[in-house]
Amino acid sequence: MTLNFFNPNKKKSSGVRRINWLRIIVGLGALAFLIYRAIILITRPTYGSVFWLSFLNTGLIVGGMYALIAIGYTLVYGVMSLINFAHGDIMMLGCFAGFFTFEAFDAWKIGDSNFMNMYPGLAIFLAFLAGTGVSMISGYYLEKIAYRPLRNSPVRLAPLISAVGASIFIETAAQLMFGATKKTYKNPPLLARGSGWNIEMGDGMIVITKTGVFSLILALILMIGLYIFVRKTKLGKSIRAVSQDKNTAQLMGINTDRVASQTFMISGVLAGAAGVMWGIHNGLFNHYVGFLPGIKAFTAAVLGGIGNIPGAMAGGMILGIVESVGPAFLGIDFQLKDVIAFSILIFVLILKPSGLFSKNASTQEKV
Amino acid sequence: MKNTSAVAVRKGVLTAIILIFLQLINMTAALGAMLEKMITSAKSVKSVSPLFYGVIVALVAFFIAFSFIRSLYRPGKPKPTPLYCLGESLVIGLVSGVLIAALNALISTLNANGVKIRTYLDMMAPDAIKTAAFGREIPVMIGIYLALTIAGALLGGLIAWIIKSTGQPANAWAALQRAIAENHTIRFIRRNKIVRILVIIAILIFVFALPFILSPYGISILGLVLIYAVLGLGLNLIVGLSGQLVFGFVAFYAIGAYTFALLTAPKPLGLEFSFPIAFLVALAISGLSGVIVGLPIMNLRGDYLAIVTLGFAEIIRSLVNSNLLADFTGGPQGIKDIGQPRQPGFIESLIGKPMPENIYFLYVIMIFFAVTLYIVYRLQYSRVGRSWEAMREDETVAQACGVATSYYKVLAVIIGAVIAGAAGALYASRNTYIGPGDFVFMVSVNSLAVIVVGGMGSIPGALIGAFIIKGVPELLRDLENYRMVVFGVLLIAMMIIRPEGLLPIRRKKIYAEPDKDLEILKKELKP
Amino acid sequence: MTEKTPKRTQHILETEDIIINFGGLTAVNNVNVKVPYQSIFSIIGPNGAGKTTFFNCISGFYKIDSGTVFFQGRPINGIPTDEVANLGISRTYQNIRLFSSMSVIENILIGQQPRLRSNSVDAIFQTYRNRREEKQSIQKAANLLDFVGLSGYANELSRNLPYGAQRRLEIARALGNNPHLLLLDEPCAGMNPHESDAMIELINTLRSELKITIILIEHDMKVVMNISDHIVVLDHGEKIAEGTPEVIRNDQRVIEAYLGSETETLVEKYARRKNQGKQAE
Repeated sequence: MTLNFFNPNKKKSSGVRRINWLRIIVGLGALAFLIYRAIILITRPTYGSVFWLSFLNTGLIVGGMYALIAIGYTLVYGVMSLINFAHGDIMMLGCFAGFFTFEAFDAWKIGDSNFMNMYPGLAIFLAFLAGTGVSMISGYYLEKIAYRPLRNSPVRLAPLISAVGASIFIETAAQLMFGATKKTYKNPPLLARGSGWNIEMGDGMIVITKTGVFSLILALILMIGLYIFVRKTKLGKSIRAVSQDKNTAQLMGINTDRVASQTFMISGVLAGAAGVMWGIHNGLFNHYVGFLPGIKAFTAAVLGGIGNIPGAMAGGMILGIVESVGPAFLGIDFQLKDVIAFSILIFVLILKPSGLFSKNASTQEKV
Repeated sequence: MKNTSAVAVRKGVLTAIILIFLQLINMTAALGAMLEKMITSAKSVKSVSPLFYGVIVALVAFFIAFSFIRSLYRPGKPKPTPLYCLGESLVIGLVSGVLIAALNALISTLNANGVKIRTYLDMMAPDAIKTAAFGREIPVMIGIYLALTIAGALLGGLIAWIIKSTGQPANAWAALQRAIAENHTIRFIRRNKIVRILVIIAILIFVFALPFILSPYGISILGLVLIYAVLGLGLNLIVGLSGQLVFGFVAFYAIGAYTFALLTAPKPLGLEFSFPIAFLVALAISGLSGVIVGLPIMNLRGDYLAIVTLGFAEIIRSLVNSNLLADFTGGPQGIKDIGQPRQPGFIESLIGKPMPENIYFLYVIMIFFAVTLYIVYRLQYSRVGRSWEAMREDETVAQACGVATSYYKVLAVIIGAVIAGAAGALYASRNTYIGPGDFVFMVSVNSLAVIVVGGMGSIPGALIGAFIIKGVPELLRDLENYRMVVFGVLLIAMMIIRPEGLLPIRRKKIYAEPDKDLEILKKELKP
Repeated sequence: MTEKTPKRTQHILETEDIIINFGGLTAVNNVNVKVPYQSIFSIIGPNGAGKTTFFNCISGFYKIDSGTVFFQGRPINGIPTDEVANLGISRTYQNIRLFSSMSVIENILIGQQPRLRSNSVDAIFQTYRNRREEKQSIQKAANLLDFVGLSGYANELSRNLPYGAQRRLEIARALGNNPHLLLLDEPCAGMNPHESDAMIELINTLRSELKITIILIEHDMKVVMNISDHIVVLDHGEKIAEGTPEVIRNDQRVIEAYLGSETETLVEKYARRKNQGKQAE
């Protein structure tokens, strides 16, 4: 500790490399506790291996959604150094759009049956199209209305406050318009909730739901697609250029304003897809659905090193898994999975502030 | 000119979007009812009359057209002719009228065909749909909407044109200001020291008499506003002065409140400490939590503190709410019968009877507010406050100037946490009941909004901000449901229009006469 | 101060084989300098030679990859920037970095941080110590402002000052902590000859009257040759020459570093061809 409580300038120190005791103590303490829990679990197993696998299964599915949302945070942070606080709400809008599409298809009678039963694949596709479209458009307008006028604001916190304002506005507007009661997604029969495969394993069985498999695969496809997009396309390259150095990118002829709004649209697409997945997989939702996934996805982005796209993907997956495996591993109530998720954030910031996957160890600023 | 017509069409679409949005959240009706209540001075308006509903619709078109026509007068551009202004306004009115009428036609048809719109759009109950259609058939309704928006827009355009071509209100305002500046009596009052002291004394007397003047409802609102002002002052140290963002300020508030509640309430622990002891312990515990939150971010830059505190607040809320600690914190049920400060004996002997509880408690809150005000003021205009501000301006350079940034960061968080803990303890004692529902994320947002609206780093700003954030919504109870929507828009608008807040931070002037002597400077600069 | 007699008393600052890498690029490579007490010591070199990086590692912004920096005989590398300032090393910046929305006098008060002892408790209770210190430091700030010729500006916001005044304010702020050693990063950049003469005067006074050792980075050769006691030339992070202004002026490697070596650049080649063509006509 280099803190002298009452007077910071009293101490005269001579130069040696400092050891960060806080980091070491916290790190060793956490490690010791984890080992202790592992030993207990091995000697006195409370859950069979089937349970662990099904926790892992849940974790992967939720993790995929977190990862998609986290990419949005990371992209926007990279380009504009802004925590897009309303990102979770954009996901919520996507969720609603998917819900209304399914409702409309369900009500659309064709002969004896309805559209949803006749063309379930098309219905799912169109629902995702609607969800991503709505989120993309709202992302675009969000940037245009709430962030662009503040690009050169003298008050550093202004964009963030504006983001909070946008978040409150979207959330309460959705609440007033659509009501506060929880709604249920009407899934097409192809992806009926709860249906799936039961895999027998020794003393029990694992339920692998269709919706879960679908969500995970779609999330992975979108992630790989985004990665290729950012690596190969011109827009992807300009996004990377702007996040490296905004001024230089501008000098090289990149229209940073346009890149910013396109970044918002891309992150909106991913969030919208995550929103529809959330609805299809979990069923129940209301206007508040974006809040917790939003801040958890931000945690995931910090976990992977903010500004780092593969980091955000990995961070989301890790957070999802830890959150669902953690309570059982630590032997606490499942209510407390949020506590685990946020404690991880604090631990990571103590132990490796730049995130688990970032290359530059110290955030140095040029003078 | 073609170009601006396209803009006018866009403005028309914007007007329509606003109208549709207002209708879908049923705010048009609420605003109309408020207007009706004001004009007809009726006690309560059950359902708004079509007249006032229409006035609100026309007003929206009016404001958009007004601001659009005003924006046409730009320096270096030819002044638009009156006919042209009216034409553009007509476009706005027409476009918006067609769109909003189309929506209502659709909704009315669906409703007539037996579709339950309410299941999807919560506010669109059959009554509301009928109000929005002015209770008429569809063709008549379309006509009414078109007439309303066109009339509103034309009026707006006309007034904007009149104002711009005569420059009337602007000139009058400037003249008024000049008159005030030149008036001798006002200048005398402003400059004279004795008058100023008298004014301050009058304000103090007014403040002391305030609890006796106000109604019980007013007392309770003033108490809440002051608690939020204390919260705002604490957050101001962290966000406004040291420039670090805190999203989970509610965590410290909750810790203060819960500590106080657990120490004074008969259940679940049964300690029943007296007010001062419990209060001090609450301060200490919340300060300790400040240390815990502050240490991880000690050597970090950027917005990490925002996220750490956000996570911390969620941890606290989940823990308080969980079954794990339910025996300890009361879980979702919360804690009842929290202790209140006992009145000292001299008050009773002074005024003959014990003071009413709520008035006494308002005085307690006022005293705490004054103490916080004093502490914050002293800190801000001292070496410590200056170091915080330097960190906010440029952390790297501040550190190179010898400001121990990690120390000051943690110090700001600790002091802020203690102040928030005090506010929390006061809140718990005032309400005598607390539960997890009192410590949601919105509290953090509100306290952030207090200082943003008031002005970052500004001490009087915190009080003004608390009045606007907590007081005004209470006064506008008619719009209770729409408060948060309006608030969100206000936050964005405020950041764009006036990011420095209503009462921006004022630099204290420092005067000193230089010695004009190199020898003295040499002595002063001896290492 | 430690009572141990330091070994390296004749030099206020010494660096021993310091190396800084930025991901493959060696910004400072094996640089050894010895700065005597109360001297004006200049570091020159072409753009990107690593001069500012060298400053940054003295003041602790960058971690040195290997080597040692000794200040008054004690190693100081690896200690945080604020403690470096406490030891009596202050600096200015190449692109001016003032606390722009604070007033001029407040900027200097911030510069005095390491010399103040009062804390938050003193501030809240307005103790004797706090009031005395506040009074003294404000007086000192006023004197410093007067010294750099800014006494009329005390309550202006520092971002509203003209350019030259901002440079002088930075120096005044750096003087606030009673430095032994002052690092000036291009103090005369962007100044007209008249202003830079005034700056030379100021720097000379700092050394002769206030007994402060000065390390200077400067591109203006007139300034450098005029006031330096000792010059070090950096190029591509390496020290290529060292000595008095006369020695440097005649050093072949320095001339090469500044004017380019024998290898022709494309521009030079093109210019020569053009000239030859002209002569041929």
